[in-house]
Amino acid sequence: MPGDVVVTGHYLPGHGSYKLDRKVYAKRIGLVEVTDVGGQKVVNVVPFKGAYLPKEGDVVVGKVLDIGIGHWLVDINSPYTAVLPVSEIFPRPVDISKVDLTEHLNIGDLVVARVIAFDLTRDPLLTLKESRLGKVVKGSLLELPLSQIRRLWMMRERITKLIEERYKCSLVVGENGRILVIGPETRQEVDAVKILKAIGEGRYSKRELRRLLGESR
Amino acid sequence: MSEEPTLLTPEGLRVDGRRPDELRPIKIEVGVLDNADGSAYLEQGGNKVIVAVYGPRELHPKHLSLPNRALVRTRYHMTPFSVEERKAPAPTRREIELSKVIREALEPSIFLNEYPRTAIDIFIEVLQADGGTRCASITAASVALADAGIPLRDLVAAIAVGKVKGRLVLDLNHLEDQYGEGDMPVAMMPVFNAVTLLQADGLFTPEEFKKALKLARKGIMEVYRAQKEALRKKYSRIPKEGEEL
Repeated sequence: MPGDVVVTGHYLPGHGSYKLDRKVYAKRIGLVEVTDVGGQKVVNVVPFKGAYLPKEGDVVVGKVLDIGIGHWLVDINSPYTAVLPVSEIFPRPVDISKVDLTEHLNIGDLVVARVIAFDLTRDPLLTLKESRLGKVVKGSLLELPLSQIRRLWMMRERITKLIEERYKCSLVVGENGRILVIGPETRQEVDAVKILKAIGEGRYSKRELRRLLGESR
Repeated sequence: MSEEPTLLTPEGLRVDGRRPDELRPIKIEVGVLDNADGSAYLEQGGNKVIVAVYGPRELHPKHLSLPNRALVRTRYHMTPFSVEERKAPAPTRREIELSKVIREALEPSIFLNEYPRTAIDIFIEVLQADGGTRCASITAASVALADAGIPLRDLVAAIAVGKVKGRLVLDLNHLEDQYGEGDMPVAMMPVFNAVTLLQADGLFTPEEFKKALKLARKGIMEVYRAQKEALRKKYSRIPKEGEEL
């Protein structure tokens, strides 16, 4: 909780904490996590709630908001709107006066993209130049609070396996709190979304989860 | 105006039966609004305040954004039914000033530089007023900020000290504010002993001022405990993250 002293002594403040006079304080409401970075103990406070701050390398699920001259503006569920330049879509330079940008991505389209640059002075820059990235043509979208995404991340492999085997759906978990579920039919997607929601909200006990995950193995 | 009530009985009790250094009962509830990023509801005696926090979010109009930090916008508003005589709903001079004062009391507690070019919006609605609403608003707004997951140095707690019949009293109510001789609202970040708001009207001698500040600190610690307890109550229900399956 903000203002709480987490530890005193030789610790470094990490995410969600700060140091003053040998004491490490919490900045946000969350859970404490201590990691070892090069022999130094770093204290993180993992928040329950909060806005998504883009990080370089994050895979995000975005929604096209607007089309500019030579770029798209993409909502990535964050206080900052991302920019996707034309050059990050096409393999070679194109003449934007001859290409209709709406044919490639129109307003409202969903994209899976990677953040390639972000430094608080400029808006995040996205790219689609990777095999897993691109425009979303089918699937269901699920939006969860960031803390729940973290929970899913921790069990990612097991969850993905469960979803894939049970519902024949594949998953794209965006770091920005959006999950894309792509399945053969809407019915399976809806089921998969339901179960992801329940897991995210922590509605399953440890035992139930183990059973659930075990079943699919 | 009606006749002056008995503000202090011979036994040293106040209009509402409190001792001079006694607070009104405080009740804080966290996360009362579904659509806000963070929210809080506070009752302090006859005061009822609801606060919604949005953000950090993209700021519109863009030209207001600050290149190095987030912009905090605060709106303090009293509902028309919050006082005895209906108050016109349009923001008055007083409300505009209080919005600014509350914003400046909260700003030092927020790590604004972590979200440059964004806005954090705080909406404070006074549903029922009974003296000391600015303090109640600051207390509730700070809890709502924490609930929104905004990084804070510490919670800000606030309380008013006043002078009634020559005696210093804690947490003035409406009558004491109206008929008393002085009113001094104080807001602090208790961990650092840092004062973020200090106003005063009425006359205080230097000794009285020192005593008043000490009394305020005592009250603030009590308010601070209530804030933390309210947050703990909401968040302790969430199952632990990363629990081994």
